Amino acid sequence: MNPHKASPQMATQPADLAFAARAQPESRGNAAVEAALNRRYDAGFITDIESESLPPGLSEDIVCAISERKGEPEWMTQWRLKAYRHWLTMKSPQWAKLRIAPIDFQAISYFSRPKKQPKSLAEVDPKLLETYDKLGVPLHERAKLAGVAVDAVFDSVSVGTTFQKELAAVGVIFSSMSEAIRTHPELVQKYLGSVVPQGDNYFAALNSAVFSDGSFVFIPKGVRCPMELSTYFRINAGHTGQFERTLIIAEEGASVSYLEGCTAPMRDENQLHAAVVELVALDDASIKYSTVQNWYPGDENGVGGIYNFVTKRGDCRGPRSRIVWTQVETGSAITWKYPSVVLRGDDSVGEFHSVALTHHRQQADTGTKMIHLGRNTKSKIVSKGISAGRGQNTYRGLVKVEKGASGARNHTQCDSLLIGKQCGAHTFPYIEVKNPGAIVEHEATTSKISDDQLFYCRSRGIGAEDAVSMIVDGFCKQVFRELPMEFAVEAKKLLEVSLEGAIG
Amino acid sequence: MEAALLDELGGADTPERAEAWRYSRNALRALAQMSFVAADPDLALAPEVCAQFAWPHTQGRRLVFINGRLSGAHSDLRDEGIVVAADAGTIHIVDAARPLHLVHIGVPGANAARWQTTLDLQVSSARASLIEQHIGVPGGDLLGVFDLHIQVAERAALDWVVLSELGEQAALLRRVKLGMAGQSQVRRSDALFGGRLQRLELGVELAGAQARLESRGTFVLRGREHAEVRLDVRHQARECACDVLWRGVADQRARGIFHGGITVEPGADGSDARLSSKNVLLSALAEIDTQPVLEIHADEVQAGHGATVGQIDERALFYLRSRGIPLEQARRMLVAAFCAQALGAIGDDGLRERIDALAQARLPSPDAAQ
Repeated sequence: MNPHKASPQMATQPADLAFAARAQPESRGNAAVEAALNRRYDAGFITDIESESLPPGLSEDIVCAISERKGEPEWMTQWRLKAYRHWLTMKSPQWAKLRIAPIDFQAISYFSRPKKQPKSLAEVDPKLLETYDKLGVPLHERAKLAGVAVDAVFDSVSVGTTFQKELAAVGVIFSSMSEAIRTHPELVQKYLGSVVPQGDNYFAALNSAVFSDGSFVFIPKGVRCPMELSTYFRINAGHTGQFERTLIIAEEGASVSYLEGCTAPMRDENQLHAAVVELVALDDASIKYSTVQNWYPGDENGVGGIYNFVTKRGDCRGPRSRIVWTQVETGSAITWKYPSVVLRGDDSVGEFHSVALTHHRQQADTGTKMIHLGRNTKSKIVSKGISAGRGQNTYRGLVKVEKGASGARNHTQCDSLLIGKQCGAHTFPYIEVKNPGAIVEHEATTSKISDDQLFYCRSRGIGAEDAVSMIVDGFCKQVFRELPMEFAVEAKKLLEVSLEGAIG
Repeated sequence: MEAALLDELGGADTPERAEAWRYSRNALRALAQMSFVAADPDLALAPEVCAQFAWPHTQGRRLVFINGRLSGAHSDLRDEGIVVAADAGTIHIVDAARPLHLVHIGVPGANAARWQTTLDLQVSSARASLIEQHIGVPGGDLLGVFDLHIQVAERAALDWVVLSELGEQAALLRRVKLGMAGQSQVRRSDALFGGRLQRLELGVELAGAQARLESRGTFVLRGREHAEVRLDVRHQARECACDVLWRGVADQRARGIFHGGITVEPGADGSDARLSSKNVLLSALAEIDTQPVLEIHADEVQAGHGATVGQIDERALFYLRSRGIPLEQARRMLVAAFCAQALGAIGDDGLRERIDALAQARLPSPDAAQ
């Protein structure tokens, strides 16, 4: 079974478009601009690789089949079934400011993997490696230069994890989730679902039932992870969904920085991505989680694109622990995502830095939750939303200070930038304070790119598109600063590409 | 009975309605435990209640409603310029040299009682002035539901002060729909005190170009009081402006909720929207929830909001104490100054002082501090 072969949508190479534009020199004169306008989604190609998928549909049998194919122990199968049974009792959430076409959960194949199963990274299908090469993800020798350990997830399975030996030498476990269930069941059993329980929400329950792969990171007591860890998610096969599950545990005094990137081919169908990420930080531990999300956003008429419904939550369990979420969301037809931090330990710190861009008919409803439970807990939220075309961008956030959280402190800054007449920018902050010793501050602004700024840039000889790009870059600087360097460069480039054609 | 009241006022049939009662559903549920009888509009008013509204400077332009029905005995409409329709359901303010004083009094009876009324008001004067007063007489369970529809004509201007003071067993739900035509201006100042459940829903449609709304308000709560303010301001035409500034104080076990929604609809270009919600929590058992919401569907918009929840500034407190002012008095001064930020816009000095005094009276007094 090889569904993507049947897909009518062919991959569009950017080079082809540039060529096509060059071939018509008279078409309004400026071929370079035409080409630039058409250059949209670089990662939209399909890798022609044989894959095996489970038939579409969702039932207890499918859940068991996934578990069986992954060779999971009985407790894991039962855990999944419990989640599935709970999911059946739940309803799809309606509260987000999103227009979602009804999702047919029976039309999705919940498991797809490349047919050849590599034993080691050396045996990985060259076509696959080529895919990651195209995407700029270092899986092999280039990885040495980059100095980043990578776990590459292709459709439902992890195809390779680099630097495992080097990491193991300092006691760090970095592997795919499936491998961790086999090799470290006690850790998985202890922490899986402890931050996001199976029945947390509709999509988390679905994920708990059918999750396929994802990364598992364990940083033991007192260890600072010697390199950046990263996972690259790629959806390739058609009519599938990706349901990965990531679990990161930092023990007492440990620290780690983790990066996540994602892409998918251009297809006319909407594909579902429902992931769950759980972070656990014990005493004095620190976790930094950065995402550059570049799933296929659909075309300018809103056809196709990924539905990105993600539950991400960190738990600052120990005193003085720290969790930092940074996200750059440029892709996906729909983004529904609220990376949160539960500030349980005294003096713990939670941060959320976000840039979300919607263009054409993309919709994003994203934000964060900061739950202050411990004393002197601090949180900071910086959210930058950019809406262009007919994009709808919503910030939705909760800051909750419970009775015991004396001395809690929060500052939220939430800015929106409008580019164009038909887009929307919305802000829904919830502030709930039950402690008189807490200080919570929220500020938000919405404005369009001002004519003055544009005029200034243009009078200095900067083209309209470049000027917009510069202004947007300045608008987002505060968030980009939080990203690791390679990611910051990528994020900046992504914004530029995503905004092309937004004005003029 | 319980289900009926919940459905009627705070039904969770749609996600929007469920969300709109998110913070007050429990307070409403407690209310729904009671069985209400229709409130008697013929109850006599005690002299001290009459003293609360019998202000000399509004004499001759006063309408008094008792449990939802117009009371001929207490109303006083000797002045000209106000047109009251036969059924007293519609009031037309034409000339406005002096303010119209609208008083709604809820008087409890032997059993838990409920009243409900609807009023239509039209404003066409360029300098109309309205004082709306709500009194919930203490002494028994009482629920009032008041719908007010008010239309402000083109180029008309309304200065509107709303004062509501409820006893601890009184509940009042106010649903106000304000329509504003082109170039009209409304300045509304609210003060909310008391009540087991006090909810103000203020829906404003800035329907004509260059309409301008200013909403100022404060709530000061203590005991087990519960107040919710929900603003829904809709910019529907070009170059409209709204400026919203609210201050909230919650002490003891009180709960204050502020929802400030501003929507800029497609085509309402050139909108200017500002919102500020600042709140002070004075006790470990009190709670403040604030939710400033912006929905922008147009271009050329300047919009911003700010919200804070905190406590009295320690440094300011220290400064006052270093000048020899006792702690409790210093606290009261600072909280009063905090509320005054929202009340400063009231042009009528006498009225402003009256509201100031009411707010001060609700703050913890030095002898009650322990």
